Amino acid sequence: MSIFLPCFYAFAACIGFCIIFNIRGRTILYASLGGALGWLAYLLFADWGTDIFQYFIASIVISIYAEIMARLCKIPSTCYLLIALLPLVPGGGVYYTMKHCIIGDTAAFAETGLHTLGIAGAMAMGVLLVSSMVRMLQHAFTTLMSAGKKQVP
Amino acid sequence: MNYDKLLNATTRLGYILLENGAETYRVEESMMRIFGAYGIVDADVFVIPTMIIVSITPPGLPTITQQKRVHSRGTNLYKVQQANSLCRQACRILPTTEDLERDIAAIDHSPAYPALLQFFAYGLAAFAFALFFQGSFSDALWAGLCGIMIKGIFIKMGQWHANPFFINVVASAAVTAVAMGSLALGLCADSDKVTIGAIMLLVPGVALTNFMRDTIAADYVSGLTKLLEAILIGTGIALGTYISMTVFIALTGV
Repeated sequence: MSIFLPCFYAFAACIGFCIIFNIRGRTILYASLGGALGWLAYLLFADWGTDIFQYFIASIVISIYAEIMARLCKIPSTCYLLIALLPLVPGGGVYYTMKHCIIGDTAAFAETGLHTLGIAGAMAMGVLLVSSMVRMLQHAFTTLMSAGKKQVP
Repeated sequence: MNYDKLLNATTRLGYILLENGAETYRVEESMMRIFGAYGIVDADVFVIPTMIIVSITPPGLPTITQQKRVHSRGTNLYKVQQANSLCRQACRILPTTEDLERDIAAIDHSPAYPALLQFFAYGLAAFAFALFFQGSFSDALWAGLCGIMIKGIFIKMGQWHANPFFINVVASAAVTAVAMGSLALGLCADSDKVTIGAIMLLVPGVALTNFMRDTIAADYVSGLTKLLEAILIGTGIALGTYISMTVFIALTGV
């Protein structure tokens, strides 16, 4: 239950954002499920090291999910990605960084700030990795397909 | 075949895609595909977040060029989705330019969700995010209220043509003020959770994601623009929170 409740909250938040971004139909359900799935991955990898690694894994899972759903439903992968990545955005980190700055706790400010940057970087790397792979595979696939066609008389 | 009309229609399709949050490479590819489907091999499309430049050379005719300046950008993924499927469809069945123009106009005028539902969505997202960041139920309720307030601020300041940076400063300052006020009155358990829940509505998640997508596709100019947007929004949020907190602490001495 302690695992599924946060995932459900992420799901609900994503539904709100789907309406804000004017997504319609069953894409709402699928995109929000992506958000919940990402957080599930985050929680399942809790014992694997730092939370930066967890964010990295979660963004990889979400990117793969978005690319698969995009191809199944013939909808741009951005529609899934923009929604599903939102729960990972370190809003809390930005806020606490600012709070430490105001209180005057410089050590905590630097630590939280760097940590938040690390999270953003991990997310970026996760998305970058999957998207680059997909683009490469896409080109490889088209090349292979056209090479196959040429051989058939 | 009227190539002027085709150029107009295609540019408008690209404009819709770009205006509503599609990545740069998607806009360029979509437009190139349509030109290719209509037999124009010699076409060039240049897209940055604020501008579209298209130039086509129809077989046996002089080159025609069109520029389109993009002033406002938002996120309307339904329009992106519709424009994307129209592009696929157009490449398959090659409609007449009149049909293409009609379909594009239909996408452009597709309605948004009713205002009441949008207010509810802002409230729901902030409510859920406050719970997500381990806030209590009362924190979440206040965050939801702040979310609805943020939508109100967006609408009002949008009508006054305030720039996005300033809107974010005002919205995050208002959210922090409400959160700290509710804590001072003993109505919520943790003002941090209220603020974070509501601030998740402002964080530049879209700009950050698009920055990554554009950078991967080697559209560095677009990527840098989105990164700058994300940094500006982030700074705006931090500044708004800072102002509210400092004033509140100075007034109450907490």
